[in-house]
Amino acid sequence: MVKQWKGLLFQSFNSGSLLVFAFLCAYPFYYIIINSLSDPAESAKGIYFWPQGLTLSSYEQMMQIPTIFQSVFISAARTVVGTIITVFCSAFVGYMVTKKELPFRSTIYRLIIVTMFFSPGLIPWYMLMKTLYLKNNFLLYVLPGAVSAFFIILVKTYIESLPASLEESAQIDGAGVWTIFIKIIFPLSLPIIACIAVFTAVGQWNSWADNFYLVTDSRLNTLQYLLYTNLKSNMADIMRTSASGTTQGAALASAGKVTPMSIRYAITVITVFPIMLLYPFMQKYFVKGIMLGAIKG
Amino acid sequence: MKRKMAAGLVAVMALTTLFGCSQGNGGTPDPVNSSGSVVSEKENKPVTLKIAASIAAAEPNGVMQNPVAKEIEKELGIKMDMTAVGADFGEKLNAMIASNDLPDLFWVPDPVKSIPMMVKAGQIYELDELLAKYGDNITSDPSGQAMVELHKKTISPDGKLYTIGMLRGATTGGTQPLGGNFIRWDLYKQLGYPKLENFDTDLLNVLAEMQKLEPKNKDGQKVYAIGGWFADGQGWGDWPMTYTLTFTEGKGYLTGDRTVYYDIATNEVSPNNDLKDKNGMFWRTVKFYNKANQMGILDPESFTQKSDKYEEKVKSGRYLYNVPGWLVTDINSNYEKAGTPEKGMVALPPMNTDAYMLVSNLTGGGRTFAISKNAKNPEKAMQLLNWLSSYENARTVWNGPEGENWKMEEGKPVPTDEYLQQSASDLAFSKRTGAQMYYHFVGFGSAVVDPATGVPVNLFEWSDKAINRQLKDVHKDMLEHYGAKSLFELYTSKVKAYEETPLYQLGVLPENLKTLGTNLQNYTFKNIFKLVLAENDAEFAAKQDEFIKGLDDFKIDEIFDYWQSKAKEQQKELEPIFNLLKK
Repeated sequence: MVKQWKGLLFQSFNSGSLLVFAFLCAYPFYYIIINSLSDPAESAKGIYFWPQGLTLSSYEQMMQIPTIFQSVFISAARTVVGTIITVFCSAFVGYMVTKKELPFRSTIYRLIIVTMFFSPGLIPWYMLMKTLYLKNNFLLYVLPGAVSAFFIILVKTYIESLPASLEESAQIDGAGVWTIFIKIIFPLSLPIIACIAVFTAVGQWNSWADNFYLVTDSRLNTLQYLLYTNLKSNMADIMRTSASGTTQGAALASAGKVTPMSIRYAITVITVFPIMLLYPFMQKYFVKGIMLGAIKG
Repeated sequence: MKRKMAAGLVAVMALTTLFGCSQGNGGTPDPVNSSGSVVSEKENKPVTLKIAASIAAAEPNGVMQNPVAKEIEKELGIKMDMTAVGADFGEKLNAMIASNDLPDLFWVPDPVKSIPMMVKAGQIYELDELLAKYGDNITSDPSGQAMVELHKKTISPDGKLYTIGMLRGATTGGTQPLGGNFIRWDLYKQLGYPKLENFDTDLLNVLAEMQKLEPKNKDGQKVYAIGGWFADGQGWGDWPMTYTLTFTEGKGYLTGDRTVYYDIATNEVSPNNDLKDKNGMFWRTVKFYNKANQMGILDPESFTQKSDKYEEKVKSGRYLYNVPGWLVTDINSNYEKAGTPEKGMVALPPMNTDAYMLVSNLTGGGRTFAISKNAKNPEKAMQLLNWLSSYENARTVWNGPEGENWKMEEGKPVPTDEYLQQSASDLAFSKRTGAQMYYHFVGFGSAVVDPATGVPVNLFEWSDKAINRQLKDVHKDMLEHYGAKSLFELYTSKVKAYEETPLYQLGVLPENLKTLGTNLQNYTFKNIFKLVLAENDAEFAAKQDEFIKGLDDFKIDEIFDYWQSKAKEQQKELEPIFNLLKK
């Protein structure tokens, strides 16, 4: 009886605290969604559980941004194309550095690792991209990230954990490097590939800095950048009536509190939504993928 | 499997080539030709100029197609290939400078820092000659002359001209100050217009009476006369402490530490260190907030709330006094929306002062532009800046070409009713008519008056018709009470000066004082709110003395002497410019 009672107590305490924890995790998203759907004036007063003055006005206002649909397409395209390229290239390089026959294998691998520790900084990057004619070019979004040291390490460690005999038997059957990679290694590495794919897709979808620095052609603007500039331009509207550059106007510039909160929330929802849809389905590969190559038996 | 894989790869490559080809129009204009006949032939052929400026995002980047851009193309043969850039352009510009990837004509957000770099690297054109040849609108106007002089003195590393300031002159038309003593006029009226002749005591007493008259707002929430947003960071959290009296008594601080200011009426630099002067602006404002707190009319949440909370409260009628002028339009329209159009805030006219900061004159221009050596046709870029600098064209840029949004009636430009009813941020409207689109890429500020017509260039905001539309009941009653014909007259008739001409640029402290200067500002910011919280006058006085004594730890006198002598030096140097601007 006591035992039962104790078990019940534990159960309820356990589920109770887990529920609280789950609530703490989910609430910020919920908070953003209800605020984005509320009347801006009500939202400014503070909304906590239910939308007040239900309206889609914040979303409508965003739909009026010129070229917004084009930018959704660009963002989707860079996510899809960029992910395919990155996955394929990183996986192949990762496979190559496991091959003992590759001359200077360890040097190559170390040079790849070095890139994780040293970053060239903004200006060299800008100049390189410009010299490679990637300015105002869609390839800017997908090519520079094609090979990533971190992904190569993940893939390499994973492939090393595969039994070497698999490859050897294929070789005996007359398969070359390409055939082995495409028909054996790639399908066997799917867990780690999925992991890389999610990482890349999230990164691609969220990225806007390359757009900011190197793309002036409006047709190539990404959704994230467009929303970002739109937040900024609301502030510029205020600054045009105020006198920027005067002694008194100085503080205005630092104020930056002009865009109604509800629009900021709506922008957050739009950018987070696709990722939120994708995550739950891909999440299992995350931990699995990273851990898979971690312990070698 | 193989086939699928190959098909996937082909698809990827097809997509990438598709986008790869959509590179910007790299059309190379013809090189400059000195032979006269060839130039005149060339003039018929439109030249494309790459321009980076902050403009309304009504049109996508690229060659502009709106009526104003068409007009420019027709008159000057220039196609404007524009990139809209924002407040963060400085960062991008650094990368562009480093890789010599500058557009033909571009905004320089921080000219004092970047122009010397670009001059040293030979990346921008020296403009003296071009200005003499193609800049007649700029050189013939006093505001243009003053801008040129100021840029040579404060921006150029070697005394030659490298930059042109756009958006020169007044940005507001003087119907209300950017900051000031805004009070709920309807309550003041209900009180029977009690004595209100000074900031230090009368205003507080009136506000206390007003709070008694309206202790709760429409939603039943507690009303305080005064609120603040002290929880915000240094510079913004103490903003009302710094700026209230600079606006209402016409003195501008020249340094962030509030030691040195100048008087807009006399252009004299302050004789005393304002942080030590117990009768100075700084201490009077701190005392004002302290007294308000003692009287129970300062919202106790002021100390813990940030400006977004303040804004929400003042807009929902929970404060009766307000300093930031840019909130007032929203405050008053909220009263209207709530069905109480008789309520509203107005800025009090000047009290006991010779000067009142109503209008800011941007002598050097609100936006600085340079022409890069990448420009194949620098003379075209100068012609464009010059075109934008005539009063007539500035009017076109602000309001679109004549006919659509405005018409000339008896020699004066008059906006149409439809135009005034537009929302200023309606992008589709801007694109269709070209109005309100290049508000940072035009020679004159919004409220600069065209001497030929006597009407400000931005008709949407500052024409008589536009101003009259904005007059609320509270304004009309205030004008009647003081016997003034217009708001402008009310704010300007009793003072000697109402325009600020910010010319001083004191720069930074020398190395040995730099850290002390930063610490001094932190010290002040931390202590202001303790002083406001003093429970009685004796405690305030004790804390005040303690604070002033503590200033010595930061070599306050040395800092003050440095700033003051620097300011006086500049005052002398800039005198010819001040004289140019005197009307």
